[in-house]
Amino acid sequence: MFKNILKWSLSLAVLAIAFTACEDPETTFDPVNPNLTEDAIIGTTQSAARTLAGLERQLAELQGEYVHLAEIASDNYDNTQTFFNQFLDVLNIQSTDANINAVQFELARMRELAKTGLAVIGPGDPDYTANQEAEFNFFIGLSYMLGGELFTALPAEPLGAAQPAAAHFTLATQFFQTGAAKATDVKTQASCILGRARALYFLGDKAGAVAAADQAIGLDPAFLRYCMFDSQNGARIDNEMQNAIYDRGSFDDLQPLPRLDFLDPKYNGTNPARDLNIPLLKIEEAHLIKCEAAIADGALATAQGIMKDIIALAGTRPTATFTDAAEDRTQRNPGTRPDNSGVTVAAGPGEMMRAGLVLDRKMGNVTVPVVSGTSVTNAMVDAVGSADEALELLYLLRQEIFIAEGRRMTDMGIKLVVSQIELLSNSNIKTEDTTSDIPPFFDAIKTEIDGINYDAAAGTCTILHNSNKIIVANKASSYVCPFQ
Amino acid sequence: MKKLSLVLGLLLVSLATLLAQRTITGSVVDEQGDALIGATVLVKGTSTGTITDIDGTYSINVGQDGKVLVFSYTGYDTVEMPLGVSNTLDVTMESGITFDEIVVTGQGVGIERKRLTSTVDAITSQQLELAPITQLDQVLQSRIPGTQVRLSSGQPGTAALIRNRGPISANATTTPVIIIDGVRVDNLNSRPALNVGTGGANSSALADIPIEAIERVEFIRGGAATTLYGADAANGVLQIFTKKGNKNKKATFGYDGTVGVMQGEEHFLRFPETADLVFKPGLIQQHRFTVDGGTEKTGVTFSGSFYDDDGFNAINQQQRVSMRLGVSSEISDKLTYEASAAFTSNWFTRDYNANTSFARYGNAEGGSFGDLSTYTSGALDTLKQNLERQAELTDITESVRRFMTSQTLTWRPFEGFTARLVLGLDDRNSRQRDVQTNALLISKDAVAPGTADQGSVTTATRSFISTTTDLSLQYKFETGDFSFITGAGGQFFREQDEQYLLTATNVTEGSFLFSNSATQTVQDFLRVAAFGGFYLQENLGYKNKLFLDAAIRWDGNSAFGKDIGFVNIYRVGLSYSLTDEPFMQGTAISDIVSRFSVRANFGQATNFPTPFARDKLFVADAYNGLVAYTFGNPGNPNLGPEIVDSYEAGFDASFLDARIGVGFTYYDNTTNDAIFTPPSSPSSGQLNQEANVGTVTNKGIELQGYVDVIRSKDFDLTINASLTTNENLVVDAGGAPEFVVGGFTFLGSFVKVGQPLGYLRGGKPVFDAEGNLIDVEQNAFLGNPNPTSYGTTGLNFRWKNLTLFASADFQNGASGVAVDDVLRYFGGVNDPGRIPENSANESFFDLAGVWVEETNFFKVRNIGVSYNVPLRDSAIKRLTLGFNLRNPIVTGSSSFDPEVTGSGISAQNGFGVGGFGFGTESAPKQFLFNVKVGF
Repeated sequence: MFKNILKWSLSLAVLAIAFTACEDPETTFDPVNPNLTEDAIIGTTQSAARTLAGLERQLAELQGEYVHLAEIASDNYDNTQTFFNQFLDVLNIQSTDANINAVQFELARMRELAKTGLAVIGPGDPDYTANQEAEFNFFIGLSYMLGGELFTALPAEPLGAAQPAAAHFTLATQFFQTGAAKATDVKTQASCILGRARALYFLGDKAGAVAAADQAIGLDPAFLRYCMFDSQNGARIDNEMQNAIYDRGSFDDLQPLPRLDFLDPKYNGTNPARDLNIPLLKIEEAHLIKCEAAIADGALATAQGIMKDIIALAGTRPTATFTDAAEDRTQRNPGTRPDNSGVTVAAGPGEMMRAGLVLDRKMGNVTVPVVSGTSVTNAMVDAVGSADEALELLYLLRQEIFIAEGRRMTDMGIKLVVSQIELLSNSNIKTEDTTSDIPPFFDAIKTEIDGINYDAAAGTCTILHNSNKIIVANKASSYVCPFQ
Repeated sequence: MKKLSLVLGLLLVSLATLLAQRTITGSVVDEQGDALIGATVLVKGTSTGTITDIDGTYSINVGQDGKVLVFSYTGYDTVEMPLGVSNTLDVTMESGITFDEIVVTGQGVGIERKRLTSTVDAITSQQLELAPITQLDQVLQSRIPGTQVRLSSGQPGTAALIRNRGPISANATTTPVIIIDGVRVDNLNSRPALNVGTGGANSSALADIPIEAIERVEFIRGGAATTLYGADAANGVLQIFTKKGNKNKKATFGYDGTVGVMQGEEHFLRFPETADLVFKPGLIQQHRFTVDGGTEKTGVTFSGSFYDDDGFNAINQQQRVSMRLGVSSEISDKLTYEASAAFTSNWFTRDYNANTSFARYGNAEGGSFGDLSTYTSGALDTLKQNLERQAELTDITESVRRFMTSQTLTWRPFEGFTARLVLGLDDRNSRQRDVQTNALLISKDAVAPGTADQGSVTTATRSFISTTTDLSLQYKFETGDFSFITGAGGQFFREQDEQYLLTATNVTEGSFLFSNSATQTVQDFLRVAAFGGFYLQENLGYKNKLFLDAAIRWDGNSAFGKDIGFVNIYRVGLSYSLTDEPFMQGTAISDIVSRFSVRANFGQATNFPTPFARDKLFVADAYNGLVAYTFGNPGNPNLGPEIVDSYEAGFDASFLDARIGVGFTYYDNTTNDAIFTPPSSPSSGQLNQEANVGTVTNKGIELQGYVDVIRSKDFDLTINASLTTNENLVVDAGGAPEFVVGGFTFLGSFVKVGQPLGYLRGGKPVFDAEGNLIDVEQNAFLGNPNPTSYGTTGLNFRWKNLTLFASADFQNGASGVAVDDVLRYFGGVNDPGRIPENSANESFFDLAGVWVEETNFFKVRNIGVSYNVPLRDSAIKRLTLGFNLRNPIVTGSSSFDPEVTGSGISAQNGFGVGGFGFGTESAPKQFLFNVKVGF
């Protein structure tokens, strides 16, 4: 009897173990990977559309890597005490910097995914459209354009030799042109054309850039394309710049240059499931390109007119009103930076003190532009008396309109280098590709680029260096002002 | 008619057998006359056996073939007693080195210790009974020489990092394989891939392994000893054997109760005020009931316990219910059945830790509140109230339910041959939940007062199931001077790990249901591995003094690349007992040298790659309501296991009637085909891929010994110590660039040729005489997080029935990072003298090196006293009273606790050396009273 009970118990135990363990008996010894193989993707319907969604997502990952770095490296933001990159805040640009490596990786990943989409996935998709082909071209062009903007030199293909920025811009213009020709959707077409204008601008092709800029304005005078985030679906695709300037969940406390305080925080979404998006391409850029061309051509009045158009255009862009009472200047040492509207700010030593640039954050809601905003007024435009003054004001406009979009670093002529990991894993990379090439006029003041003198008692703040003035003073240099 | 004859014949045979059987009873005592509880009594040449009860008595049925009884007990010399006419047989056992005890782990069915060519450590239930134990890592701590058990956090649900002979892999943890009654169980000793990010504290599956009714623990340290285990056993194997009753014995009842207090460890606090702000002593209680007994053929042990503590702060609480049933039965003379089944339910609450700005302790110690020593008492009170308010609103819980069972059939059809089949499973289900209400966020200054739409709930679930099928065959025979033990067997394991991370945002206050929220998202994770292998083993003995051991194993794994197939691994070893030579016996030398044996071996053990890492994949991500494709794992059809080649040699000796014992081992391990995940070339845009490109070496010695300073009827004093050295080096990376395995951007833990695994890398500042920063060596070697030496020491003093004991651990030669002080630096309150005044405003990226400190420590883990109350003619058979101090004395060279780590441990049992002291509370001090009653 007892033996029987034992036998049955044992048999039951064995059966229970066997059934619980296996679920699907066929996969007991050879578990099936539940992830997607290449075969499950290529040749299927919707595969092109899903790859394009993947590219939008990849752009979000890419912006998560570079936008805050570029802002820290520029004079826009001071990295007072955060775990975000500290090297770049003092322009210590090193090939060993893991953040710089990550930017290269995400850039190449976007480029290679777009190329795979164009070469393999798209043609295999029974539902493939011309506009999808145009979008793949757009993303390839965008990868090259950002490569040129952010890096002095960079491989243009897997394990390729480092190509100078100009080569990347040239490639970008070609893919943008193909994309524009293929596009059937206005948004895609405008993206390609405005992207091409931007790449031609950095190539110094004044006529080509202006023509493309005009074409873009003609296509959509309010054009705006975002990089879209989705914090609900993972920290990798939330807006890292919003983490750095607004969200308070971590040690994130970037401080804006006091003259830009009124524009901060540009990304201020209070919905934890949805961060604000970063403008990727906006029509303001077409006007800024045209304005810079006009200044270069000596057409001051034309330039002034365009500036007023830009101010008006910025005025049409949305703002957000919200409480920013949790933010301090600074978070760890409140009161050590301008933190109330009574403070006046000078752009540099000896320059005029301007009021209205610093917000009161502890006294009710604040209103901040979320696409484009500027402190430049028509009166300031009218007061311009020379081409250099116009150029300086234009760079202030660029600085304000592009704040927190990762653009200012490029305008200052500062670029990143090829990473050491690329050097070690790619025999085509030369050691000199990993050496930084910082404009000497900023290299000399690299530890003070976003430095300030703040007298809290007097309510005055003087920025140590007016970077826009420095840019203009060195406009003939190859680092800045492509049309000069 | 024939049938009737057969039945009658069988009945007669059975009757004759019955008549031929007799019952032998007796007692087993030690040299002092004290009863030995749980000593094994075996009829020689059969599987019939029992163990002594709480009085040291036994009763065993002996068949007509039974001529000799064998008495064995860990720590004592085995005694063989021939049976005479008397049915009573009392035995006195003498303590000594137990070369005849049977070792099972890593040896198929089992083998005598003296035949082993590798080291094995064992802990008996008697050793475990000295101090109350509430968690598995406490079982190991200070009890296994050569193994480091580092307490990485004081938070509940966490477990210690276990390591021996250095880190062998850049791809995997150092946690050994854990086996209970032959069944492999979940040993995830880091946070799962999907988890609730509460900062730093790593939930561990070791924290809820039921530790009921442990009879014996065996630990083998990798190398040749683990060859037979193949897959994943290179870090060693820890096996727990549980009690399964006493046959032929009336039921006995035991109660083991512990009550006490725990309080936060203050030794490493930067601000003494933190203790007042955050710590709050809590009560501990544990009650365990055990029933033990059996019938003539069947033994049963049931043990159940309830554990409860209030933590050492206002948030932590833990409750655990565990139970285990163990059964053994003789189905026939040739067939025995053993089974155990255990269930645990564990529930605890946790505070935010380490790398989250919500961490109360981390914020206090990390300078978020400035210099607490400058606070007025009023300001401190306000801060304390604020933190208490945060504590009231913090709602992080984790619950675990776990069932495990082992079913063992042992068949001995004829003398010398044994077949054993083990079937079993471990089913562990856990759920972490973090409810962040708007009120909590407001209390943390994360959102503005009045906010009502920021509440969130995050829940992480993990369902793990592993099954074991293990068949071992063994045949023993002797011819002339030679003895042979031939073994063969095979195992099949399957592990499935399924995880979900669910997040809800804009949750209506007062609910933690996902259905009461505005948005919900989910992530999932599935990892399955099926693996196993076959082995052949031969142990050859010559004149019971020279032994040769050899084995081969064929190992297969679903994680291997398609082109790999089965992997062959080998072991071979030799041991020689000099004191068994005739010329050594009865001489003057033998009066001094009680035992001397040498051993040497070569063996291989493996770690398998991450399941599915071999496959080339695409990924479909969720993105703004769309499916978004991107490149997944690049794939590697040649991905195979990393194979650790291990050479070891050593000796075991005892002197002066075994009053002094010494063990020495030199080991030299090389991890070939080490699995590295080096960074891909950024220009490829492809993810990093596991590849067998590395070589890692670990070399060192293991020295252990004891001295019986006093050994007499009323007094015993034994002092023991162990020392292990380790030199860890990455000798090859296949040309791959160095890569990060933990830490931070400014100061990380890296893998690079010529450096130890996980070496600390960052900016190394150079200051001039005035303290100005004059140079920075970027990406410099800043320290080695792996100790170059560590060990244990302890003493045991007995005066009659009173026992006093203590144990301690130490480590030397490691470095760690004072991350808390980096945070204090941000707040302007960092440690005085760390940064020269003239460089106080330099970037902390450039200053990184100043935060790397030596992390030597000496920690007394236990001091205890235990008293066996003498009982005569009482219904109570046993009464033991004890008092125990856990973590009473803590010293260290660093400004932070060298053991705790808020960073540097990779998820899902990935590589982790720790070494980042970061907003993490140390293991608390505990003051425990214990009573054990048997009746």
